[in-house]
Amino acid sequence: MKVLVVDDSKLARLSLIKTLKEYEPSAEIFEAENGAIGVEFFKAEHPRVVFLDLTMPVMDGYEALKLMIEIDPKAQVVVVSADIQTQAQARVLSLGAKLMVPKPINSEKMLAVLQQLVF
Amino acid sequence: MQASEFSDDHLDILKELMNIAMGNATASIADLLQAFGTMHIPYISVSDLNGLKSFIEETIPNDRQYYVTKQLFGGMFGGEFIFVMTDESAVNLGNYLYDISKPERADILDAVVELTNILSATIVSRLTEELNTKVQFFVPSTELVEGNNLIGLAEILDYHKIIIVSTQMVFQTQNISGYIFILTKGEMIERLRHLIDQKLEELYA
Amino acid sequence: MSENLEYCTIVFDSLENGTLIIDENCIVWAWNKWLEINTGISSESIIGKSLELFYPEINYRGFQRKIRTTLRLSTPTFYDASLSNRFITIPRNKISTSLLTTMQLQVTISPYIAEMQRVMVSIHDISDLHELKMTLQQKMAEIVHLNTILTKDRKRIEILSITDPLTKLYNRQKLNDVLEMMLLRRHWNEENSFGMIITDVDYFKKVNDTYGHQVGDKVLIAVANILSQTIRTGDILARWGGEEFVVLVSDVDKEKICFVAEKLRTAIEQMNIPDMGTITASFGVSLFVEGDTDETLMYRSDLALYRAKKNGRNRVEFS
Repeated sequence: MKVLVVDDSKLARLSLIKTLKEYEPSAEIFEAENGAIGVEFFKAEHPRVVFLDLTMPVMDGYEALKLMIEIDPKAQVVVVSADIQTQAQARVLSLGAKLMVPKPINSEKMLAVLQQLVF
Repeated sequence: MQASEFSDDHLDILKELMNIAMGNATASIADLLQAFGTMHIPYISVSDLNGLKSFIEETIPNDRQYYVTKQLFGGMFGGEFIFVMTDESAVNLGNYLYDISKPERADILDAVVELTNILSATIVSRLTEELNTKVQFFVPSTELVEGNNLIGLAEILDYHKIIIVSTQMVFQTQNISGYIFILTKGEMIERLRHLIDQKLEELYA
Repeated sequence: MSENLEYCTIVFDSLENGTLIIDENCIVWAWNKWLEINTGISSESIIGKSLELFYPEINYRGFQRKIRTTLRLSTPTFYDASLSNRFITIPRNKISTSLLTTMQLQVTISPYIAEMQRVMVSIHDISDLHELKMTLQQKMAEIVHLNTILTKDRKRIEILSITDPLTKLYNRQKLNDVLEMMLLRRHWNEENSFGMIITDVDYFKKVNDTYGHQVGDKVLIAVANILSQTIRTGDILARWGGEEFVVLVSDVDKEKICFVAEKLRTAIEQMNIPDMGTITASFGVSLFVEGDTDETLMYRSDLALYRAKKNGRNRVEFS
């Protein structure tokens, strides 16, 4: 299973991948440090799941999300963000995100996310 | 390794924690003050006083008046939380919180203290909570400053090595925005690095 | 347990500041001794009632929002204490001071029992601090004011001490000071030196004797004016005493300084003085050379002036 993790923080990616591997040890993981690189990987690798941060340099998560859904409307994008205002949540869901989870992600949150995804 | 030597990993963690803390702050403000804000990517650097001065000069335009609120916090990790807003933003805030079209100086000052209160409590508490420690807050004080000379002479003597954590917060609808600085120095930098080291160990374990 | 409670009550009532427990609807649940004494409101009369009944002037919307923030974030919140009092008004009993009639308060709202939506409000009287600050500001303003007067006076005295009262030119003292500075600073160079011109009004004693001292003074003022109009900016002109004037001229050689002196001589000669007519003056010129002191320079100028007088007056001599 291919998974794409997009976050400008190396350690946020590391932490997310660590919790993901607890449940999906065999996942093939691609990392991107901003939205633009994320979209490139998305086109090339067609990942089953994308974990996407919102506040990033170069191209933010909103823009990346929009492009990914344009490329594949059935893409499973999970927005992982520190912005937990209801407005931000409503906006990403309307853009086609599957789920939104507040940062930081931990084991319980990861399990709840994985249970709602289709593999 | 010296206190000032923060690795990229240290700064990365601090930035990520700051992002999370800012998220908490905007959510609390939405809840308590019914204002929806956007946050900017935080800037983090280890600097000295000259670095701080030039950073402030670059960040904050000099041709205005600012309400500057400073609040100390202490504990395992301590420092100073500074919130800076233009007088225009502060008037809009007083206007918004007290529902008065022409807020008086006292209304504005109190509104600025109130917003700073929420910001510091959420940002610093969340930041320190992630680092598994707790802090206590002291009485804030606000003053009106002409231009961007925010750091007084007395403070110049006091701060040598400084960690600057800075970001901007914008409430579009109410036309309110402000700059946030979290400064920490001396032994506290050492402690902060230690707390981050523990966090890093957890991650790389 | 009951002993503990009693202990708490004792502490609560012996606190040196005002402390009350209040809920989100502003109902008062505790009111300590300090508040009883300073507000005149007993705890029996206020407990269980809304604070608004006793203090209707507070902005309750803001106060309730602070209580809510305290409870939700479980963090203390504060009132701005820098300007005016925004919480309850408490009169001051202090008789000796008159600056503040009501207390300036520092108010902290701390989480107390979150489940019961109650907070603790502690009130510190910081009036003394404020008074100190106000007195300090007042004193500072006075100092600034006195300082301006002093600076003005000092400037006036300074000007008086270096001015000749009759002609308003520099006096001898000032000229000596300037000359001393020039001698210290100057690096001698043949093409670019500085020099001294001494001028003396011809037959001045006769003017005084014929027309009186008032006209004599008029002549001196007229000479002073024409000299100061004719010299270059930057040159130093002073009244040396009696009918003698001195000019210090920079950046000149022998030819240039004699030209300046010649110009001054012509200017005086062409001047018409009301009630009297025309006058002339004689000029002695010298140029600074290595090893010169103020005395040697002055000596050569005097010598040249003496020669100008001896050779028929109304002329320039160099030495």
